[in-house]
Amino acid sequence: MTMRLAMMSVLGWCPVVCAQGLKPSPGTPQPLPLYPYVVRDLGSFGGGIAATDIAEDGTVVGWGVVRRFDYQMFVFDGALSPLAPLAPRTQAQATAAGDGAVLGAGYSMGDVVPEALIASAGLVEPAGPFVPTGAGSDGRVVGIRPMLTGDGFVVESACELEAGVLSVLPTLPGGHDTAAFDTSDEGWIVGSAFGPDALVPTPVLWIDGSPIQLGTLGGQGGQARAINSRRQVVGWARDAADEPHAFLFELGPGGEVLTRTDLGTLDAKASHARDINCKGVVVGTSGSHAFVYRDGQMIDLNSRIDPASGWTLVDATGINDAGQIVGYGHREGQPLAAFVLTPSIRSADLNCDTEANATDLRLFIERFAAGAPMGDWNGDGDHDSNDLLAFLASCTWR
Amino acid sequence: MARRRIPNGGSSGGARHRNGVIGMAAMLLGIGAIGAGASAPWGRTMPDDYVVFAQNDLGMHCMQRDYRHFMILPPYNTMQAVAIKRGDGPDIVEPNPSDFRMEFYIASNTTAIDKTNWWVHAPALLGADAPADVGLTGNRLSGEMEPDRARGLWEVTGVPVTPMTDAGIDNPYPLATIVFKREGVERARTQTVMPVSWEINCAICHGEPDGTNTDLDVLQDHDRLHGTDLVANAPVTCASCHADAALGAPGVPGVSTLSGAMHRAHADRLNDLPVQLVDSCYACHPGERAQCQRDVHLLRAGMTCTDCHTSMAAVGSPNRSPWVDEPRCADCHTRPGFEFEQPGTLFRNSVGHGGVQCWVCHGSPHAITPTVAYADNLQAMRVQGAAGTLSDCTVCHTQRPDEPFFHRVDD
Repeated sequence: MTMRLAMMSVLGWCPVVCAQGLKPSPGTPQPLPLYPYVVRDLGSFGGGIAATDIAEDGTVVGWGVVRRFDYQMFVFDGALSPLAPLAPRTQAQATAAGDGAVLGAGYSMGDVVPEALIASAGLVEPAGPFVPTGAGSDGRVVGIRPMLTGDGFVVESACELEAGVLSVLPTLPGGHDTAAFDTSDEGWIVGSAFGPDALVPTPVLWIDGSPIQLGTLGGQGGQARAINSRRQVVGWARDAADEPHAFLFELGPGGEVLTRTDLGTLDAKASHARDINCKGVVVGTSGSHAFVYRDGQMIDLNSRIDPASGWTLVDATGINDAGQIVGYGHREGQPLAAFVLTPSIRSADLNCDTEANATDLRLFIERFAAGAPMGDWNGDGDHDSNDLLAFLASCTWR
Repeated sequence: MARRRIPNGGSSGGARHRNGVIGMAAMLLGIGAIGAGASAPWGRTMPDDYVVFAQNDLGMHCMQRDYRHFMILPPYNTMQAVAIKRGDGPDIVEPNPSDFRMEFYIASNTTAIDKTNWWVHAPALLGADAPADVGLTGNRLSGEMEPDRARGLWEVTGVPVTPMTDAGIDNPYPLATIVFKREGVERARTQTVMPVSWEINCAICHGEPDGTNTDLDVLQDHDRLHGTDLVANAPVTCASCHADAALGAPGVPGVSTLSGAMHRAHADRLNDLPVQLVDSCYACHPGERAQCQRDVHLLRAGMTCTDCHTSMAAVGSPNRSPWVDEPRCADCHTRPGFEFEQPGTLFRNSVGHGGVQCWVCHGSPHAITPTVAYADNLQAMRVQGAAGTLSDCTVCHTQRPDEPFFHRVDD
């Protein structure tokens, strides 16, 4: 803590440092790392475990099997901590990282309607009858609410929790089941919806509560899974050959699709995009290999880690703006193991304004002082002055 | 339009039922203890001119999440549906595709290839490629069900549904919606579970205590004990040597059936499980969490797998034909004048009451209603307002029949 307080004092002179020293300096030679990502095993509770999302401060959430059979949510902030479901529910799985919170669903075998759980500071609280799937930085949570209709059918409904009020988003005109998976800071919500008489869903965007069909890649069916602050939407959609492919759609100010990119596949069969960060880096899975898509290329993340690590990365489920990627895979034959990948070269542009400057340094130090995982910038397990030095060194990289 | 007619039989439903086998068993075992979900919170929804019922054929389908080493069972689920034209004497709708369509979808589960590596290993396991999100019989997670005029129902086989929702939540009981259309217009719909689980707990015994190398350990044990070379040939399909009726695989002559081999090999070993289980069968079958056997027999009598299937050694007997020699309702249920399965036919394939599938009123094997899983009970709750056996004649009969009803195949 003493070190953290000392680090906080840096804030007093950081504007000077930032003005003079934190600007990217492309001329500075930097040795390229052999492997662009360092993989870390998050541990387990004795059974399978999967990471589902990562917060901006580096906190990882997910679920793991405890006592051989039961699911529990977990939070990883340097150490793995289980979060039990609320009785009488017996199972809980975290689905997304909110603003300082773990979002998940509690349920018991055969339940039709789950219970949303929001955990903060180790305290788990119920949040309504839905599965949370994503959160905005303003505290809004979106998800899927299975609803019993008046005539006894269960309908999946996209929903939004704002200021304690849970509301259901409208279907497409004449359509039925919907799902919400993510929301942007400007309040746009992405997900999927079934049109009239449809047997498959289509990617959808809700603006001010109105659904807009985003279209597919030439086939029928798909889902929009994530949106970033640059109005870039990713997900999966069927192409003309009826294969599910990961997509990246760039949207205009009215939600219109400006560009429609098929991200391709690793196995010439299928791919699914899970998440996108503020820099437009996309992660997902294809052919049971985790991928990252950047600069117009889909790359097998297994080719970007040390093969001696023993990992096979299966699915990349989340990425934060600092470029850290989480997901699950196999390690040394283990059936299911959770990982976090940290870029060997990290950008200090934490707020995605294309510059590493005083704002980023302040953001870093705040997270450092809070003991957030990101404060351990050099990944040595400690929060100390070396992290500040490492962060400053990162400022030469965007 | 040809139809098969349901007899206009039966007396007042409630009184009849209290005298029936199910009613009698319920009284003996404490009916009314169904718990939350026994009654429909929305009340009864009266069907329109048609009423449609659907079910999964087995009550649970197992699959693996990981096929890197071997395949016991692929993602494969089968669902059947029956439509009945309501009337004073209701008719079973003959599945004539020129007039009728039966469509299905699973709203929570719209893609599968991102949830399991089966499609990656299918070429090695099957010797043939499998298109994305397409199951073994060419069916997908939604589409049209096949009419089966001989049986008077619609069926879809090999649906590659997984127990993981699109939101990433484990759910062994995803709900399928079935839509019945006449001349392109919806006339009725229903929902039923497509039960599926990958809760196969080989790790209880195989591999290191932390679960490491479980599947590999299974193959190593097989190689060591049986002189095979499976590790070097992984991934392998168990049914390529061991006959498996579930996959229609004939196996290799002289090699025991998969069911026989598995049950015999593990019968004694399950006596010394390192963990305490509700039911030792759940060491391999799903499962402690999924509770495959969840039906009225468990709910009201606490019955588990072996109460019907008897011992593992008996199930593994070389004299038994797997998937054919199965428990019969009449093994326990006896009542003068009453009949249960058709002679020589399993419950899941039997019909009665004018050709109605037994499951229409009773539910799937392992999910005979009411079950402990709320999702299983929805269908009955919707049409008659309460979970359990369909006992309200007016679900199909527009007039409550005056004649007494006996639980007979031809009644």
